[in-house]
Amino acid sequence: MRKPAIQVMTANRLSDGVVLYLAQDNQWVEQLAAARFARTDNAVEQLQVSADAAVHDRLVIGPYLFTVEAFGGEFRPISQREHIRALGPTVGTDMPAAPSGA
Amino acid sequence: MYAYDAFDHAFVQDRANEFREQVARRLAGALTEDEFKPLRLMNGLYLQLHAYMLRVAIPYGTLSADQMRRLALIARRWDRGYGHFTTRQNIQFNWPALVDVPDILDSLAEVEMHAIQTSGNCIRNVTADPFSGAAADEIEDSRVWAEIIRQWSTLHPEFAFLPRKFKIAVTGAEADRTAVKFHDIGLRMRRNAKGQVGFEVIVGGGQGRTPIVGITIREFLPKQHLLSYLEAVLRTYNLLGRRDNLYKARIKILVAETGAAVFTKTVEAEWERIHGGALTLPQDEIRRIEAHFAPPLLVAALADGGYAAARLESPDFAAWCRSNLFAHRVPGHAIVTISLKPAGGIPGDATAEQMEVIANLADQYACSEIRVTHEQNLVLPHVRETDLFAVWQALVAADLGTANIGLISDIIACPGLDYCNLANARAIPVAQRISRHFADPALVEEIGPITLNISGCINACGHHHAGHIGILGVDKHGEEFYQITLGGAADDDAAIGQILGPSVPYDGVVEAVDTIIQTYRSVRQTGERFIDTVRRTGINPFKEVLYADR
Amino acid sequence: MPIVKDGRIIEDEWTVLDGGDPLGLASSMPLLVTPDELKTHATSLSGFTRLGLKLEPADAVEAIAADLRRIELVVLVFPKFNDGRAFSQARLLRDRHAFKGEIRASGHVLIDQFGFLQRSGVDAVAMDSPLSKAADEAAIAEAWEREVTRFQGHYQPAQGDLSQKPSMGLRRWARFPPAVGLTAGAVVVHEVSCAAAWAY
Repeated sequence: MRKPAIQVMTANRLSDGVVLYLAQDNQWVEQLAAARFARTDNAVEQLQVSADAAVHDRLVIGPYLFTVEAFGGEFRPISQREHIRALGPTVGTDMPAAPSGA
Repeated sequence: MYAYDAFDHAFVQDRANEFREQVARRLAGALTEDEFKPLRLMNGLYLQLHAYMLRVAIPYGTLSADQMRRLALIARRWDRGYGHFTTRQNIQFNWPALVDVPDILDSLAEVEMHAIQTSGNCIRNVTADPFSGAAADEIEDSRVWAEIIRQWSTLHPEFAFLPRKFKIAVTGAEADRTAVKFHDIGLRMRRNAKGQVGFEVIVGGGQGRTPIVGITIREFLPKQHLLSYLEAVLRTYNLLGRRDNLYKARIKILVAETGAAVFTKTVEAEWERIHGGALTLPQDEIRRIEAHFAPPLLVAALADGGYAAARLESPDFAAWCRSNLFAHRVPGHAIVTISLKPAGGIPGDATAEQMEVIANLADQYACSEIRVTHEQNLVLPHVRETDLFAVWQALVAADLGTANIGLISDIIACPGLDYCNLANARAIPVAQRISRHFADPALVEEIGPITLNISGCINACGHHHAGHIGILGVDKHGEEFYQITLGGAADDDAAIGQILGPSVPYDGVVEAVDTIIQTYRSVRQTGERFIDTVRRTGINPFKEVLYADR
Repeated sequence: MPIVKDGRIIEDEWTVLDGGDPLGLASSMPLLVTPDELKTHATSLSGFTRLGLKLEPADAVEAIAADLRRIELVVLVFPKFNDGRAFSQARLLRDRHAFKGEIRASGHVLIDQFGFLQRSGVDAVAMDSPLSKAADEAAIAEAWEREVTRFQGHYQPAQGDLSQKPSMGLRRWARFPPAVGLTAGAVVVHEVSCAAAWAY
């Protein structure tokens, strides 16, 4: 049986554009590792509710969900885009192996 | 260069005040993001992958040393100590906070700068020849007209909500250095049989999803009719351009779908009704603007002041002279292009410190003026030959002395997936790898003139369609792949590159480019540039070698 | 339906025909019709003394130019704020056809567009106020005043400027102080919501 996708809610902070991830207790954090990982439909819905509230409260803009997968004891984004978004621009440094190719 | 008067100063300050109010309303919740977004876009403020991005206008790529210093200050105070010069002669800051942008705009206003209309569905920065007022092959200074158009288009009430963005370029030399045929409107200054100078009007060029070379709708437009004619084109576009499909909304689609003849007729009919009116440019107004662009007083040099000797003594300096200088109209002077493409560097980026070095050099050696090229380099337009060695030394010390203008490591690359919300693949590290691979100056010079342009998505901000070698990043099942094109050109023989074959993976790009270059070197005739070889042989020889094992 | 005009709130006196039949309506009532309806009901409408025309963005001003002499009001529809065809329609009405009646922008219009609207020849706005909190009429009337006077001058001639002599400088064709008092401002507020979508 396929495991349900693990979702994370992300957004940018309104005031300065910093990338944020929704964590426990409706807190938004800058590190993906500290985010809340939703494994059930119910949990995902809760993420959505919190995100809508945060938009309304003018804390964040443009929230959306993306998928992560368990890999080597941590959770990594499936998409290249979210990988870069989590780690920062790859330029000037050698990028760690892309999750899809790992 | 153009200097603001009280009117202009008041205008940018009013605009900065307006945005300050809009930010306050946004933060207070009086504006939602949906309502605020078009407003911030009209001040050049994007939300990108990691942060906001502010695109500051550098009108027709001309700025003063003091303005460059202010950009350095802004980079330091409100960003991460650097800026990125773009393919439309603007500068981008990648990390400003929204709450700081009103202060940034105020700071820009103090030095006669702004971010007006650098984004949004309006008329964007009008670009011009970066060698204006200096080049030996100049007919007239294109910046005069770019400035006139800039003013006319600034907060033009009828054209603030066009179907899509609108890009205009003006070129005033024999050779085109603005990619004029790849713009929504390209204006090419020409002399008619009577010796009068006017504009060839080219419409409907562009890159992106549907690259098209523009068509000439009017061979010769007298100067005084410039604005009324532009108004006719813009009004036609505003009323008839498609608004049902984001990807079919540029004027190039309208021209293609309507057909050149009908489109031209429509514009001419509208123009018939408005020309001769308030938009006719009075002679005194043209002269008023021209006066701002009067060339600096340069004394033709008789002796070269050690320039030839320096070239003999320093092979590195000599190599830089061969690639980075362009003929100036005043004897004993040169136009210096500063490469922002060091091996392994990020194309078009400059640190605050580098900006200040360039500002100081401009003050000391180049009449305090700097230009930005659409190839993401900078220019010191008026340097005496006797000063070239000193300038070069200062540039080398600041990692700005790479001798590669117009050569293979002078790569145009968009920000790509490292920064941009729209991207499918990274462009900058590809550029870095290629430029590192071709770091040997002797090899670079031996390969000769060639353009290599990289875009991270189909929007083509890296102008890959117009590169002799074009590279387009695509997403293939979640991995970065790169499609390679050959034979594009941005100059007078404007052309769109042809796809060579299936895309190659990220790790295969350098090898692919190397293979293409080796093939060129093996089939070229003596003195034949890369693009000339491709035009002669077609793409097949390259295709065959590149995909030999498939 | 209330209109805010010159800081005052007045009523919207216009009735939209909206596919109905003018037969049976009082010929003195202000009636807003589409170009198609004007044609279809040409006979019944010929007796109407107060007519308005409602133009969609795709409607050509040329096509109704001959009718303008009997039209008192032209409504220009904004299905979305970023459909900017109304600005050109307004300019053509004013500059090409010397239309002197009221031009009213209607639909999804942002407060921040008021300056552009006024300079294009629009003198009234019927706003759908979807998401904005500043939806009350007084605030919108105030916003109209603020936006049309925000800039001390402009870089291009616009509605009403073409024959004017500017007060400043050499640039006869370019610099015009805000045309305050040229035409009155009028604003109508609805309670309809629509979503905004913006192109990159």
